[in-house]
Amino acid sequence: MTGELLQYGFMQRALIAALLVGLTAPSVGVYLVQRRLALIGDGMGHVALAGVALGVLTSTQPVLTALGAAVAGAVAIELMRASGRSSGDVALAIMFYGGIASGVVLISRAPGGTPANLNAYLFGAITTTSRADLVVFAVLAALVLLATLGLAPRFFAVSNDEEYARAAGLPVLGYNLLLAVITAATVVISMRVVGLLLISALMVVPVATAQLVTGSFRTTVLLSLGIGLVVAVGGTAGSYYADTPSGGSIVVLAVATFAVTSVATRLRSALTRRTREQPGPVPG
Amino acid sequence: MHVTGTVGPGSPVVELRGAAVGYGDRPVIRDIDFTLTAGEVVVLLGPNGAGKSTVVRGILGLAPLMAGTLSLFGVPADRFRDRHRLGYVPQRHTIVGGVPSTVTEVVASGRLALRRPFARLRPHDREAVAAAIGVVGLSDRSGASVATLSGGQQRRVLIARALAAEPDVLVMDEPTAGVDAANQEILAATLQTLVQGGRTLLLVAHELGPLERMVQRVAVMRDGRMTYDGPPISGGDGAYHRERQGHVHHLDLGRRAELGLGLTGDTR
Ligand SMILES: Nc1ncnc2c1ncn2[C@@H]1O[C@H](COP(=O)(O)OP(=O)(O)OP(=O)(O)O)[C@@H](O)[C@H]1O
Ligand SMILES: [Mg+2]
Repeated sequence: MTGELLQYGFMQRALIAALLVGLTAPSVGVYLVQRRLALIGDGMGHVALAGVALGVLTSTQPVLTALGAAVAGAVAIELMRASGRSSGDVALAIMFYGGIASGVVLISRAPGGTPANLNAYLFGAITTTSRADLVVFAVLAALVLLATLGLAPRFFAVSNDEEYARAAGLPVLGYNLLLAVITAATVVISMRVVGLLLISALMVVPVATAQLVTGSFRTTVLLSLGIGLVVAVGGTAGSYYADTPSGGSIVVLAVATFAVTSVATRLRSALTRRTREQPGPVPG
Repeated sequence: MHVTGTVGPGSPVVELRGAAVGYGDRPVIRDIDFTLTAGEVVVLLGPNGAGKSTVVRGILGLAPLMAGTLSLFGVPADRFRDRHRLGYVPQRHTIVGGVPSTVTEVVASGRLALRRPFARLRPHDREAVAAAIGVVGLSDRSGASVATLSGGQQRRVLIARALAAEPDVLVMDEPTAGVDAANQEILAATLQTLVQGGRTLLLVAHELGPLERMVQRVAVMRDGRMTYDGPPISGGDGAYHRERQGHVHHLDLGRRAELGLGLTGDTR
């Protein structure tokens, strides 16, 4: 079965792209969850779509134009957050919806631009990853992981208590901007296999699953990377057999993992409580 | 336990002159003259909203200085680079983030300013972190998730985080609030040890409580101004307001001796 899967070039590329995004998305997402900004990746996906449309229109590589749009959006978001304006929330909404709306409009005007084409960008498709895409994804993933893992103590400190980090003399704005840019890069890595509307889920759900069973930041990071990798590769392979959009399959798998883990941990704590209350074998 | 550069006893470590600090463009505290000298233990008192935290935040560079000058260890604040020499325990804290983290992980984040990016934790860093956790009496919980600690224990984690950088000066915003009497005693004893080890302390509090024994100077804030700066007076908070006759900023050494306070630095 595995043999059949791997004999197609498009499938090999899709699986490599899945592996890259499966590792990078939770490594960034853990800091977004820590700051309770879980939805920011979603917004960047919206903005990236405008970049994709621009690429399609001008027949430039959409991956590169999406990267440009997402990074510009990320920097704008972070500067807005830093300025602390109370209207920041509304400004974000305007930017996000402006991004996705202009993306949809632009793509529909592109030669050969059809809604089906759009779906692949939004929800992922296994047939779309090109060799050139893979090169960009691999470089971005390496840079993202170098930053998220290499600078982990710093991102942890800045995300855990921004004010304290500032008092300690850390360049907080710099780290926030860097985190925003690597979030944007991760969104772009996701755009072939996972899709721009679903990438946020792959950043957040593996982390949410991991922290059900962990007590430390370090184990949360490592476990969420493992979960991200398994659901991304598994979902991509599954979408080949089930003929479903790969992004949707990956996220369904991730959410299912979360649900099962959540039920299992609840059952376990309920059981231990019962055994503690009534010593001896648990009845029933 | 020593950080780069030494501070001779008696030299100013924090110096505010005619300072105004605020938020947005509105100054909240005005015309503050305040000096913290190496080796001193000073408590900042005052009612809610008086501006105590704002003074502290101004010193730490968390709220902008709108008028006057601030120097740290004799260097103008905007040119001061060794911020880790000032340890900070914030008043309100969001110690529990969206992701679990252990006591050791949070305390280790206090040590970052001393480490280079991408550098691995050195043995000395680990020792300093473990020592800081030991000082606040949480060694047996060092691997526990901070979310499983009580509020008072979490506050002690934040004190340990400040200690992990081995700072020369500790600035603590209401370290005793929400801590029970027994643990306030323990905290006071801990602080006493730190002072004996050569640290300078600036504490914010509502009442002196068990800190009374070790405090050499009290500064009282009211409506954004400093209304008293001098030795502690027995008779409670009200006494400071009756004693309002102007700023008592610089007690001469003779008066200090007279009051039995001793000179700064002789506590060790
Ligand atoms: N972030 C902020 N933005 C705007 N105004 C603020 C901010 N923080 C405090 N203030 C204002 O500054 C004044 C002084 O506040 P501060 O926190 O310094 O008081 P405090 O003496 O520490 O009080 P407490 O005992 O309640 O901690 C208050 O009137 C408050 O409304
Ligand atoms: Mg306060």
